[in-house]
Formats: sequence, C-alpha cells, structure tokens
Amino acid sequence: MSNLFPIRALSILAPVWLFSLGCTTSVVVPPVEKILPAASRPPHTAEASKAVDLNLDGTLSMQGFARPSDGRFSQLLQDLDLSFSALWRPDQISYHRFGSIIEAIPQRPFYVAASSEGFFKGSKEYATTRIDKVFRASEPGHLTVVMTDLFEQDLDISSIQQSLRASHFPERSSLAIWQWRMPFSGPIFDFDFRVREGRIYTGERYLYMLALGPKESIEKLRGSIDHNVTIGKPNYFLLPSEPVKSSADWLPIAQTANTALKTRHAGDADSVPYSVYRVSRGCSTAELTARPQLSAAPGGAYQADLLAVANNNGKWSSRRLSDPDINSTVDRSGHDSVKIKVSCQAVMGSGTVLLRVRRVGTGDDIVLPPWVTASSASSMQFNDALNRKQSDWGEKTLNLAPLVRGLANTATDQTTMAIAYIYFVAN
Amino acid sequence: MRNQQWPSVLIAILIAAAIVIGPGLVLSGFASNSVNPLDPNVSVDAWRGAYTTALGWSAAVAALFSAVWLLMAHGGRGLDTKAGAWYALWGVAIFIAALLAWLIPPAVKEGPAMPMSICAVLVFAAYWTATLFLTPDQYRYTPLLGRVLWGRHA
Repeated sequence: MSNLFPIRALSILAPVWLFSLGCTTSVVVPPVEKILPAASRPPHTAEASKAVDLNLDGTLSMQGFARPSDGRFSQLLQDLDLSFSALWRPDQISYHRFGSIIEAIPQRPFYVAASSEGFFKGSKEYATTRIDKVFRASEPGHLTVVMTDLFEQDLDISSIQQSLRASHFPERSSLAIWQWRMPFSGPIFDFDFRVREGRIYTGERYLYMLALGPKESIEKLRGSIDHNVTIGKPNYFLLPSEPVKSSADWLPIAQTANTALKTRHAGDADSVPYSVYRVSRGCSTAELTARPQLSAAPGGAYQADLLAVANNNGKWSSRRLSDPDINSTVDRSGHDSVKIKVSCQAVMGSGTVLLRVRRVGTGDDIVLPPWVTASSASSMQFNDALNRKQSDWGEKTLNLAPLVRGLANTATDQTTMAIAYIYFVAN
Repeated sequence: MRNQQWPSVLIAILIAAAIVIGPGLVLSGFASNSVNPLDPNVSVDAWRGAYTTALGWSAAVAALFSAVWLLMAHGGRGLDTKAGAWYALWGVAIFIAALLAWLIPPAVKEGPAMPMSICAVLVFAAYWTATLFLTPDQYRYTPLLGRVLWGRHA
C-alpha cells in the first residue's frame, strides 16, 4: 500500500485541482456602446500637438508683474520657455502678445523682451484683454497657451465660452488652468474704468496660464512645468474633453446592500466606464447609495432606467424593464446623495441587466477646486474693496469663479447627462 | 512509510496542503458569491484573491502542525498516548486558520463566517487526515477514529 499511496493521492488530487481551476467564474457583459449606441461618441483626435502658440497678455494690468526687482516673473517666463522647449522644437514654438490685437514677438529669447515693463502697453489696442480672439485664432493641432492676469469683465466670460466652442472645446480639446501667486507692483483698473489711470497696488496677485488643446499634450506640458518651473508649484485645474469618458465614472458608490461590486471597467477614448455588480443570493432588492461627483449645486434631479441584456448567437440585444426606484437627497455636508433600488427578481429573471443613471442638469455640473472660489471676487466685491482701499483687494481675481464655471459649463453643457452605467448580474 | 520519519512528514505536508487548497479553491467561487464587502469599492474578485491568500496560509498551518505532530510521534516511544498533544495541535491549527481567514480578506457585511468556516473545516480535515494515515505505529490509535480504522488490523 505504501508504494502506491502517492500515486493514489495524486489520482484523487489532480481532478480536484483541475476542477477548481475550471471553477473560476467569469462574467461576460458587452461594452455599454453595444447596448446603448447613444453612449458611443465619435472618437476625438487624440494626436499630440505638433506646435505650441504662447500668447502673453500685453495689457497694462500685467505690467506690475514685471516691476518687482526679485525677478520672479522673468524667472517664470524663462522656466516656461524651458518647459515648452523640452516638448517642442524651437521652430514649433511661436510667441505672441495680445490685447485686442494679436502680434508676434520677434525677439529671442522672448522672455527677455517680455520681462521688461515697456512690453505691456497702455495704447488703445491693449485696452482690453481679448482672450476670446486668441482662442478663435487657434489652429487645429496646435496647443494654444494664454498667459494673463484674467482681468475679465462680466461680458468677456461669455465671449471666451463662445470662442472655446468655436475652437472645438470640449469635443476635441481640453482646457487647463494654472495659477501662480506672484509679487506685483503696478496699476489695476476697476472693472468699469471709473479710474482710468488705474490704482497702484503693491503686494501679491495671481497670474494664470490657460492651455487649450489635446489632453495628452496638456498633461505632458503639466509634467514638464512641474519639472522645470522653479518658483513654486502652481494650482492646476483640467477641464477634460468629454468628461463622462474620463477613467473615473461620476457616481462613486458609498454603500451597497444585497449586492457587491464584481469588476470595474475604466473607460477609454472609445468606450464609457462601467461597473459590474452581482446581486446577493435570495435577495429581493439590491440597493446602491452613491454621491454624484458632477453636482456643484445640491438638489440635482436624477433618472434611472433598466434594460435586460441578452446575447443571441453572439448578437447583443436589450429590452426595457420597469424603471428602478431612485431617490436623491441632500446630505449633511450639502452634497447630493442618490439611492437606487433594483429588483433582484428582474436580475434573476434576465441574467444580466444594465442600469443607466442620468443627471438632469443645467450644465452647472463640475465641482470647482477650492482655490478658484477662494481667489475670486465679483465685480461688485472688487470695486467695493478697491474704493474702500482694503489691503487685500489686489489678491482677488475679478470674476474668476464665474469664468471657470462658464468654462466648466461649456464642457458639460447637456441637459441630461449619463453619469453611470452599472451592470447587475445574477449570482 | 508511516514508520519512516521524513518520508511520512513529507507526505503529510503534501496531503494537508492539498486538502486545504484543493477544496478551498473549489469553494472560492461559492464563497465570493456569498459575501458583500463592507467597503463598496472592494470587488468580490479582489476579496476572492485575499481569501485565496488566507487559504494558502491555512494550508501552511495544517501542513506545519501535521509535521509537528509526526515529529513528536516519531520522537516518542509509545509509552503514553500523546492524545493531549494531538488534540491541542488540532485545536490550535483550527484556531489559527480561522483567525487568518478573519484577518486577511477585506471585512464583509454579508457572509462574514463563510471564509472562517471554510478554512477552519479544511484545516480540521487536513490535519486529521494527514495524521490519521501517517502517524507511526506506536501512536497509530491516537488520532481521532484511529482505533476504528486500525484496530481490526492491529
């Protein structure tokens, strides 16, 4: 018996081992686009930018950055030039100054010319900061970079939004904003020009850089700036093209009952992200509680619909089921909380169902980073502070939050937006 | 073979590990379909990976305690039954396996006893089976049901 024992043991254990390997459960669900073609969008051009156009605001309100003797503005321009040079050849980089006109900067290196006070003009052509003109003039395949103090009047905001739309944002381009806190000594104008010469402010002000172009190029530029810019880490905010197709979906689940996450699929350029949940054995209702990420203003309205998914000879089909219960409330921290209930019988009966959650929005959908609201002042607040000679008025950026909100709205300007696709599979 | 110290220890280790790992893997699908992780972002597939790790450690515990028993049995002269040591090793092995199955996989709110039960039962069976068939002659009746199995042939 003893000689045969290992062989007998193996003859018993080998089938058990093979059975266990074969027992690995796998769930096959189709990409959401196979069931809901509306979820599929034309692929955007993800090619990296072949050239970069740097546009420096040449209006008088920028002059104060060049005046302090510590040379930080000059250093920043030099570091930025180094950041661009690390990604593009010299013949692929062009430099412009703009106000209400756009003109080329012929001097090289450009930052020597741009660091002098005389670079910033008080002439009629440089009375207003026409960022919209720069974006309208942007060439396809180029990364358009704007360096400005974002001294924007109320009406400028809608002009910038319209110019961005004309430049294929957000369909084909993303927009990024960098913010630096810089020493400043020079004139600032109140927005309705009651004081035509401006008021002299000495202190710190924010300087901004906007970049419009393919997301890939923007992300490379961000890396290059982080590596090369030596005057401090800037604040950064990216408004990606087609935000729903970003790798994270917009409905993070905070709690589950009678269901558990099986797998999560990150989206890519051609497919939306989705999750697969399996319902618990013997359950009657599966519940998901989630906190939507696309809600800047609490109290959004949400819709959910459910589709039974079937595979007939390799072809996926779907049939509409009765809508699941969905309730949204505003939690203690002022955020929307959404509870969705899906009937387990519907899942057991169909095998696989697809839940689509949509937000009926007003476009007011992206949560702004705190630095945007912290450094923003409305026209009224700005003028009030200016007239009262408050010490910190120069540190605020006029209409920054409405401007960024406007840009975010441009990125998410759809009345009803799908914020999550969730498959439920039977246990 | 049971009276040869090192071959019997080696075979016991293999048997114990196989008894825990084989059925444990077979049951892993059932186990992962019966739990709901407390953290909604932990997938049941990730939980299953952690459960498999716990299973591996349980197999190691079963193999180690079986080997320890066999080494003790080979070192003894058969003057006492060593039943206390056999039962103590059994109990400690089961306790450690259950503890590992509780600690290693992510916390769950549905089916928390599932991984602990599986690991404990498999270690129970692994230690008992390995020691029942491979304990040397002088202690062959010590493992539970040893007298039932070997008594007629003694």
